[in-house]
Amino acid sequence: MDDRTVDVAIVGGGLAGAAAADVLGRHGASVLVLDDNLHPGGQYLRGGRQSGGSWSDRVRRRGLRLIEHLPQSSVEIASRAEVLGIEAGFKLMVARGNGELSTVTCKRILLATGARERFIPFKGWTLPGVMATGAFQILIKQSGILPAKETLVAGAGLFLTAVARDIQKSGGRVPAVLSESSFFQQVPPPSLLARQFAKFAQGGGMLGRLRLAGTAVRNGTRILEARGDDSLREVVAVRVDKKGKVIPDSETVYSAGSLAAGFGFTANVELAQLAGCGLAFTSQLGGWVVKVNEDLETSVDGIHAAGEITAIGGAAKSLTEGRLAGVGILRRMGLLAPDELKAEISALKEMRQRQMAFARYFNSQYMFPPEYLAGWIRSLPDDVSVCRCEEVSLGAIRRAVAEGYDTPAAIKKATRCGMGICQGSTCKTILLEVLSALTGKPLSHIPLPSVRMPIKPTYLGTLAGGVP
Amino acid sequence: MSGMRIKNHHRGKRVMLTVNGRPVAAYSGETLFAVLCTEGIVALRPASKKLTEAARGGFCGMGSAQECRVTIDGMPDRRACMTEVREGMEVVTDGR
Amino acid sequence: MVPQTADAVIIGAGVIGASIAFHLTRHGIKPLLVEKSDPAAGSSGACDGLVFLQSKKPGLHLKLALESRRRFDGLVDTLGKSIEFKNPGGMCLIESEAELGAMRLFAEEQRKSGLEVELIDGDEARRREPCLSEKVIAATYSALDSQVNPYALTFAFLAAAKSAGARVLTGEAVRAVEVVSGKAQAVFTDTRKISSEVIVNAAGALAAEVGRMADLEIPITPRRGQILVTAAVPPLLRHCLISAQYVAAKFKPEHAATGGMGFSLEQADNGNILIGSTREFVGFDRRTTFDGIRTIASRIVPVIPALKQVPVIRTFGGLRPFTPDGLPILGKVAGLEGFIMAAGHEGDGIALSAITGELIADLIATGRTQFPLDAFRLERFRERRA
Repeated sequence: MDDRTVDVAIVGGGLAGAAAADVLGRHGASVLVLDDNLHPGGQYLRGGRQSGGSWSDRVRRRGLRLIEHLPQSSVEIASRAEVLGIEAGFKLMVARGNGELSTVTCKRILLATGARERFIPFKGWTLPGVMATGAFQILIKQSGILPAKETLVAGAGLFLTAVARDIQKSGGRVPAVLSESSFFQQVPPPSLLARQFAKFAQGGGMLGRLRLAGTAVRNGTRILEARGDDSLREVVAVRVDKKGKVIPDSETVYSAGSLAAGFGFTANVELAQLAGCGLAFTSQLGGWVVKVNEDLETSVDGIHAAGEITAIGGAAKSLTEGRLAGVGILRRMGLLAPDELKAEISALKEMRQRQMAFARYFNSQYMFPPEYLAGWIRSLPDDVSVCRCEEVSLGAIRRAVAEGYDTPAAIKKATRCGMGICQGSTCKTILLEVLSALTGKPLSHIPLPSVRMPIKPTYLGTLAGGVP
Repeated sequence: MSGMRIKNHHRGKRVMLTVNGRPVAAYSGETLFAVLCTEGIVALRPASKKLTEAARGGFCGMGSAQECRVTIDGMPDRRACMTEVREGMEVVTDGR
Repeated sequence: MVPQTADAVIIGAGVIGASIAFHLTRHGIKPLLVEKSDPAAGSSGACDGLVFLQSKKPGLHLKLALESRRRFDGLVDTLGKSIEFKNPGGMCLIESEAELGAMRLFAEEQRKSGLEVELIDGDEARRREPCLSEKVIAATYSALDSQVNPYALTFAFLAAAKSAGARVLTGEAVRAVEVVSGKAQAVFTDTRKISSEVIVNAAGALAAEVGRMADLEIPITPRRGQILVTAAVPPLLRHCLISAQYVAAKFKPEHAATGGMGFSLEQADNGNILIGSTREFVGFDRRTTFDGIRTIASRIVPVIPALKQVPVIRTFGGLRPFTPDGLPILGKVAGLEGFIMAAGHEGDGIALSAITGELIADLIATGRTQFPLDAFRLERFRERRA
């Protein structure tokens, strides 16, 4: 891909990015979607077409149709395109899958960079055989491969049941699903239940089918340790009470060569942070998110945001916000008259409010109260790895905090936590929570470490302008 | 942990790759990470400092954790989960 | 406002402030460091770790650097392995005949100042440093050139100082300096007033701002240097490396226009390779830029082609405290009793930290220094203008 100049660059070719590209492309804007994945569709549409009549399948089909029918005369999708940085103007530095570097110049940017999984570490979580729940889902949906015949699923939140069902439907066995808290630990308010009934019904149905297939569902259960020599051999779990305190003598050992561990999601806000967009920490929205107004504009003039980065909220919200952001960009560019699409815009904003309400409920399943999380972290032994890349233990961080290094930036220098090749992608949220537990400062008051280009590791040969 | 292919998943054409000198059959459209799973190759590289257990394997599956790095066609530090298999691909794990 | 007193107040817990604190405690003085952010949050945490003699200007600058370098061996014993001090020797890489001519003359001047440098041809350079390409036609080698982990050094200075009674306040910016009858006698933060007979300005790139609080005009301006950091890789570099470019340009300015940018490289203990650097006056902007990154990368690839396949995982910009004559500002300030300058080290702060700490601490504790500090006084700028 040579250097490009377009009206709008969209970073992220998932549901939000695609929905925006669709409305933008149909109203006269030239659009380049930069997606780092092999195929567009983001995390949700991995694997393409699905049959079935469930609610999520319907959303999936909507998303696929959207992508397949993007107006090709005005919308270009670049796959395997990683945006490394953004400069005023706007200019985006993009690394391509073939190792080339190119610059994209545009008038407006939509950031739709989605989310990744976040984790609470446990002893042995770096063993081969222990993977994130999303890894299993992606292997199944995208490559049609089940990593193991039998997989233990554990962690926290609603995603566990979905992954367990995916494994079972693919012919795999899930001996148990172990969850930190009981599913639906908060009874959803009746109004929410009524309006988002389909989602709740699907969740409840999944649980039922899991049990029917012989999976033990254990709540109030935490992974204590993953054990093995070269790879996973067994998983030790313990019971925890409602306050998150480990119940003595409650260990169960599961023989397991494969563990799917999931603890929820965190928004990929790094590019937004690099571009100077204001961020905010809000538990109910999934942690650190990009601040947007009701038209989905960020604090930087010309940069808009949509999808998981405004709040972890699922596929339908991403579709709504993509379209809403696209419309907002069109208005700013003068491609829509002030009155045009007025009714639709109102409807979109109303739908977004309902979806945000569901998002708040959804995230409350993952966001444990500060005292709960602090207790959990305090119970972890010193030899738990916090930073996987640099092998920085919880003990090393505790010692550094005791010496007075108590901000993420200071810990980074004192221990190397976050200095590895993933640059905090895996450990950032863990470090923030550890610091909150150790210092008593609320997460909203712990400053994020700085973000610099390149957002993703890039061969020096690529940065030099050649092909490595 | 050894993986298996799911029935009724639409696959592309068969391709042959070499993994650590051994020929491996796979299907176009599968990621290298997925293929390595079917071969039971879970340990992809040594841990950074050898302070804890020896090996590391893929973790997040979506290109974020950087754990699944292998050498592909002579180029080191390529994420297996973000690479689709290709005819003639040469893969070395634990390559650097 | 909490009032307190201290033996000495050091503004800034970067490598200079930390070194001064360490050396003060060896005199039995227990300083209080007042740091607006975290230790090494400024330039000391955004630089490479080269302790390079070959890059110093022959004369006073190089002599000061040599003294500092000599202290490092002792410091390793005192501060320990955590500072990652390594002495692989350094090479200054020559890429053109013009540079070679300039470097021959430069080497003569370096020797006069007491630095042994050896001029070797390209083949010998490649024998010693196999990753170098044919672009290198010659090099100068110094066995003294070394490297250290700059923030680990800062932390080690502080840890040693703290165990001997020094205290560090972090997250507290100095907002004002109290001057009464020509005497600086206290500093204010948002929550405290700290009185002291001695106030040291070790605020690096922010030293001018601190100076204004005491009505001093301090000609220190930030000069950004961008650095690329690679992933940790198996040992590739055997030496610390710089290019002859900017060294030659220092000595023969006509060479400044020709050729590309100067570069510097080291491979840290952890395996990461740091590659620098730019020289930009952009105020206090620490961001890295497309231009800076592409320039550094394209500059180094022809010289060390193996770097093409090494992932860059991070970049950062550090603000060198630049002075008009390239020498730091050290010592007492005429007309302002109790206020001591220790800033303006440009890109040499890490290398000069050892000697700076010792000299300033000696000055405070005994009134005397092993070397005269006249050439480094703040007034020299005013005097030159007059």
